[in-house]
Amino acid sequence: MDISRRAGGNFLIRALALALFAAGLLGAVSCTSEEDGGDGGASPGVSDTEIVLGTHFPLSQHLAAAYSPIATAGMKGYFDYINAQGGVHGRKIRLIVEDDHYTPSDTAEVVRKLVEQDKVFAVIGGLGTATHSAAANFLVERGVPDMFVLSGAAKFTDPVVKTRFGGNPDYITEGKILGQYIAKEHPDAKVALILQNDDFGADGERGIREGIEGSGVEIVAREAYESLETDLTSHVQRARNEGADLLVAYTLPPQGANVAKVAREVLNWDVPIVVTGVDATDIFISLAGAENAEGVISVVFGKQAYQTDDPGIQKHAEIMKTYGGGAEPSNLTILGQAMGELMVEALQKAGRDLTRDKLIEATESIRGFRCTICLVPVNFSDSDHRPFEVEVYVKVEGGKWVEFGEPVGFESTPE
Amino acid sequence: MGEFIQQVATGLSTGSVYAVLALAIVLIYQSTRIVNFAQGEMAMFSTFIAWAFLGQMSFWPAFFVTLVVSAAIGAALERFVLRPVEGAPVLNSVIITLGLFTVFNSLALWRWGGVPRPFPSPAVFDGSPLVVGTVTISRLNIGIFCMSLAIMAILFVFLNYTKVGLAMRAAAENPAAARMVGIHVGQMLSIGWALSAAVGAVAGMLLAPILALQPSMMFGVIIFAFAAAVLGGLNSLPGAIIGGLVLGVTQNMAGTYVSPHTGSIDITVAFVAIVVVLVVRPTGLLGREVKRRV
Amino acid sequence: MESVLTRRNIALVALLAFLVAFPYLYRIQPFNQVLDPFRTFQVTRLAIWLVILLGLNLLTGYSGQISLGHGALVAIGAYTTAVLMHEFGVPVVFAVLAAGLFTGAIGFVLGVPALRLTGPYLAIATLAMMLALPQILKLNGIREWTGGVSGILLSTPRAPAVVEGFMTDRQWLYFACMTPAVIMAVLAWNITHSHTGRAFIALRDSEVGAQQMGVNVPLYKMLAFSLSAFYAGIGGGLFVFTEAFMSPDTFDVNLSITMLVMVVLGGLTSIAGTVFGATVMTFRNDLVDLSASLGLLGLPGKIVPGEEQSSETLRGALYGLLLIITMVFMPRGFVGFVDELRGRAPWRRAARMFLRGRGGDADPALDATSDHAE
Repeated sequence: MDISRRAGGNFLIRALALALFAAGLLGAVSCTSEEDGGDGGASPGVSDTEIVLGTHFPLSQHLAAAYSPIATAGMKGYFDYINAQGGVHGRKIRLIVEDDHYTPSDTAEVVRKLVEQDKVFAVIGGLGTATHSAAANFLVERGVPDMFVLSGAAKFTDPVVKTRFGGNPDYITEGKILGQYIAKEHPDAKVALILQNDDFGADGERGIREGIEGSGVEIVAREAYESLETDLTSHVQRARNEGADLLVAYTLPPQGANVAKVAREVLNWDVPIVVTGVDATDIFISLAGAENAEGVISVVFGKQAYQTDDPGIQKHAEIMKTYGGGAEPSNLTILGQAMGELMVEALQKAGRDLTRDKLIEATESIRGFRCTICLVPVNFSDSDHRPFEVEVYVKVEGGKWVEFGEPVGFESTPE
Repeated sequence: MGEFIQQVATGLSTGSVYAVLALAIVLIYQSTRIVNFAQGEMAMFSTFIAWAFLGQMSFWPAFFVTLVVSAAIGAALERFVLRPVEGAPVLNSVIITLGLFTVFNSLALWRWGGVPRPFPSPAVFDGSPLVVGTVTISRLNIGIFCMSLAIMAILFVFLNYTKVGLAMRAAAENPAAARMVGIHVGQMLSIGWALSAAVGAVAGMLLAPILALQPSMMFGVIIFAFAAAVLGGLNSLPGAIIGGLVLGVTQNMAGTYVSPHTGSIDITVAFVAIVVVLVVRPTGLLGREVKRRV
Repeated sequence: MESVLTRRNIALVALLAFLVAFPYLYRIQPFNQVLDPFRTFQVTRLAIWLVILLGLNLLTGYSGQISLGHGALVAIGAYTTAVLMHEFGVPVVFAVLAAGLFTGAIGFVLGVPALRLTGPYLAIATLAMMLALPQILKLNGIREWTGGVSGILLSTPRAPAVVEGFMTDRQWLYFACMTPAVIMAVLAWNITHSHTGRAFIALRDSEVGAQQMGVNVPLYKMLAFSLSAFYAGIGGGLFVFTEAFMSPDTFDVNLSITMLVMVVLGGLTSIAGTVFGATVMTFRNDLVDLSASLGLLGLPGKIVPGEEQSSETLRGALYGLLLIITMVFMPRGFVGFVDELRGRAPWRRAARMFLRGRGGDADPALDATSDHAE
């Protein structure tokens, strides 16, 4: 054994030398001046009959449930509906949804696959902050339009990157809108923040703090929880002990509902509650119970799935039934369709002679576009890549989210 | 002081959530020597089944029908999925349960979708919370606590004083010797899986009103339930409960008294505490020392 | 001195030559049918997973200690590298090496509580590390280094000027990861065939027996942890170097558990098995895609009527099913399966040469790996 090992060692040196030699030879032979998977023209993924788009979502493992309908039903269903109407400028849209398990390292991989193997024209609605961060720079480098990132992180749109556009409202802007409400309606409030311990919570906190600046509102408690925790009784109790008289929750709907339920039902604490727009869903109300949710304040930019007398929602339900694999209309499918409508609008404006530059230009020229299921118009410009900077206050009344007041926001696109 | 007592009480109710699922984990470990990573997802799946039955009948009939169905699923899994790898290294069965984890999660997502749904709690647990001084605890949490004690008591009697229970333990501890005395080992393992699936179903139905019924509802709980089971000792049913409660209280204490100075640290402190306990008592708080085979 | 032209050596040269040529092959017929720069990226990943999984196999396979927290060690290595490069401008080679040593040291310390724990108790203790880490990374005082919730963004790695014209950035990264991966694999092979490796195996089979053989049990257990952590640290360093981004969510519980799954799937106590495990780890999405393309996902919808979601949601079930089937039919992992084939099928030799990179069964000294895989 020892002999064979020594022979192996000697051999390894030779093998390595040989290998290096081979590398040099091959390197010299092959011309490598061109960039890997170069764009090969300004519009890969576009043929006479088709536009190929790609996105990354968790389709399997535990977070799939929470997000996948946005892509697999909402976006895909809407594109199929448009295709059935004849497509955009005679081209059908094909959406490739890659499974990234909501794991950043997998996102980095599948996005490279989308660009280099599937040769997508653009990426649309890439989901998640940590996940999309792992792929964002690659997309910029390759000049691939990174449309409507589904992350609330402000870093994707501030500073503006030419090829990247935001999707849902960012949590700093949203927090500012909520903070202003608090400063106006509860000028002496002692606020307790209940936050998810990640950038969702951190951005929300920053927005709220900016929104209340200069008012008499004071933040007396800051309770962070990990996304693994679902029962926040202990956090709400501490908030109360700190003397808070207003709760702000930057949480996902199950935890947000838990906060409302614990405060009202367990602690019998009739405290005003303000929640992130992420929680402004029918699920929040049904989980918290209509009585406990009564009076909770939030903001929205889109309509609710249960507003079934609204023509936009009716149409959405129809699209989901026929093209969305029969998916139940929900905030997820609505968000997906909203992104789909934005994309179709941008492609329409870009014209038949489609290139990536034209798509970006066309998107930046979108002004006052109102999608069928949105409450506020979308404005882009070359200095503003955020679609939704204006939102509408909503309040739970009789088990429904009811809009009130004028749309509020920080529209940065000049009129 | 008021806050301290409050947080202990809240910790106890959080802990009982861990405890009730930990019981299922301990049960299956005691009766088959397998750590079932799919326990939480099986419980979630059972809860969806209960939800489907609730459309047809009232709570308690649906509850018991679900127990039966879950037990059948558990026994079937043992017979057709775990039995073929009997005798293979422990890690293999661990990986099979991890496979089952994603299978159940994915099936539930496919069949029922990812939108969280409310799940009713039994009427006896509804109503205004219990108030003692500054401490308030919801009835559901008290109900969960009592149910976990009841399950523990029933299982304890079953495993220690009935013929089948004793046979199950013998089959798990020494299959060869059990066969010699005429115990049908395979059957015992099936019963073990059936029972723990049923206990898991109870856990799922009790927790769903708090966690909201969705395919990912158990993900946050199962890890703490494991930690609770290990902390208490994997072969001790009372240990599962004690472990759950200690874990819940530790988490809340850290959240109240450490987090304000450092940033959120409750989970870290809870897990460091577990590791410390395990170093002092390698088989958990109430676990028995297992003979080492040389 | 025996001839260097043994079949095994020829196979090794061929393998090395292939590894060197691989990132260029996509330019040549007929390889361009299956290869492209994206595959180069994937194989770069494979090299990184290989380093990471080798570490886990040294711990779990060779010394028999289950770890569900390997991902935490990888993350520590990645963060160490990222902080060194980002805050102090340390060159990547030194940063990665330092990360390996630092993580190895942490592993040595973590080996202490592991001394008394076995089986599920050890599994949970290691899982605890994985669960606590994201919270620790965000603590006051630490988040100034780690970037807290938003993580660390490094500048995109570029091929140095020296190799310009020979390599694209992608090819450069491939060599930058494949070279250490090959070195680490050879190192692992040498460790497992040394006195230390035999001590690990003795320890796994029976602690009492190992003690009687004169093995210093506590020292070797801690050494196993430390070595495993060293590999994890190097792997994490390479990972963050190629990704240029690290956040507290990058290595989560899921990924950590998947690492263990892949090591078992490939075959414990086998370097070749680890290569296989790293391959499956890299291509697991493609494998599910492949199975899905056979139309498997649509089947349940045909059997069970009623309203349900898109069949894409069944990907998880398919993945789980593939795991279960593999474990049922290959209980000793892929390498164990190949060993079983030996002596049964006429094509065994070809299969073994192909899969294990060595010829026939003429070299009993090498069979140490398979002998201990029982």
